[in-house]
Amino acid sequence: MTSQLPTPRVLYINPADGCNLHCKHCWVNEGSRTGKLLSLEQWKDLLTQAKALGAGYVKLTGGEPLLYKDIVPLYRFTADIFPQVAIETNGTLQPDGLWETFLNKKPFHVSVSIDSANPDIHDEFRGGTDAWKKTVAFAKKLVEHGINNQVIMSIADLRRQPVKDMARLVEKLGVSTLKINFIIPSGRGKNNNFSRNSPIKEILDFIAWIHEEMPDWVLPSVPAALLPVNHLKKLGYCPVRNLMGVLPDGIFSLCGVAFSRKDMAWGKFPETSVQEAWENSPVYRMIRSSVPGHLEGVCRRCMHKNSCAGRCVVNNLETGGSITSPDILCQRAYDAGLFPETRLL
Amino acid sequence: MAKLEYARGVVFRREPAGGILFNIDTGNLQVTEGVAFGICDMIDNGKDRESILLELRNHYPAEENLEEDLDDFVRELREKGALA
Repeated sequence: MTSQLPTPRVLYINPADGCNLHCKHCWVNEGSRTGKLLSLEQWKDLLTQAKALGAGYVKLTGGEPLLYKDIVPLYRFTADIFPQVAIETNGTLQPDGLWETFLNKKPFHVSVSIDSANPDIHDEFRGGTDAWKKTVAFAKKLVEHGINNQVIMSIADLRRQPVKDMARLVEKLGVSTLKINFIIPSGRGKNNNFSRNSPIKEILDFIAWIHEEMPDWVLPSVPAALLPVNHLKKLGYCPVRNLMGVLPDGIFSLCGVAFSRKDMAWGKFPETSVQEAWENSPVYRMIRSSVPGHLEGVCRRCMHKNSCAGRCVVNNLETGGSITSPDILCQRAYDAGLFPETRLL
Repeated sequence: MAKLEYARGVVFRREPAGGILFNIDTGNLQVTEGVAFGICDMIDNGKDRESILLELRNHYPAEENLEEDLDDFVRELREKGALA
């Protein structure tokens, strides 16, 4: 591999085509369905190639990764060769052999999605009967098995009571952290998302309320510049320059965005090798050449530019029209004179 | 008097919950809280090592290793390129 290229350190693998739920905010399969699924042997080959290029962290995500018929052997293989394997799941499925395999080789991290402490609200949002009950049972098993865990709550408005109720539920379950995801305007989230629904002053007050009033294991997923200093150490950043996503049919993508945006896809495994895709995909090349160096708007002036890198280029593409567009929350805060001066250069 | 000064290109920003040391040239950023924040704030205000140590002794009279802790922190800042 060319020495100047960054390493594809992080792999987002989407093994299953689609999902057993139909969540209101999801971007998966908003476009056409993907083609023939990669077989277990093909995934093994792909993962081995990625490992040889320096990948160290794999996230099994989707769609619903646990729908993949060979998910247990796929997990086992992945966990055998990578030091860190994370799983993002809706937690409604428990394939045979999953827990035994987890116990044998614990995942680095498993997150499940619960959007409300109220089962009816969650099931309505997720488009699945009894989804809440199944996911809560899954979360309890994660805790019982001592697996590093997290609940992710997706929200599209500023009501505080649902967050308080979720925090209580998470505490009762014994789950480690509650991540608050603000629904982004992509896929089915285009018409009902956080930034579209609310005035920026109220959004910032809401974020401040979470920091001030909620326990420190409630983690709002917001740009670094909008976090108080004492919360920065806990913030995770998107590894966008080192990130490779692969769709169920082997299409190379940036994260899973190519499910809904075909312009973010290039090359297909096994016809295209992992190395060829990493070196030649115009998507990865575009990211390398423009993020964070050519970020626009307030991101250009922000001291977090190098680490935050615009937070989510997919979100920025949808809201601003370009992967170098600024994060919409930060830009709206800046335009309203509410962006923290101490974070500007 | 050991003069303490931030390296060229390093700025210190104060916020209610702590401070940020930021290197404009490299983009490196270091969050400081608690005592570390206080020390960085004093460096930013032009205080030298002895003045900072005196201030710390006034604030934490029961602490025995203040001098060693301060020197360790200063060394860490130097190693990270934050201090000249």
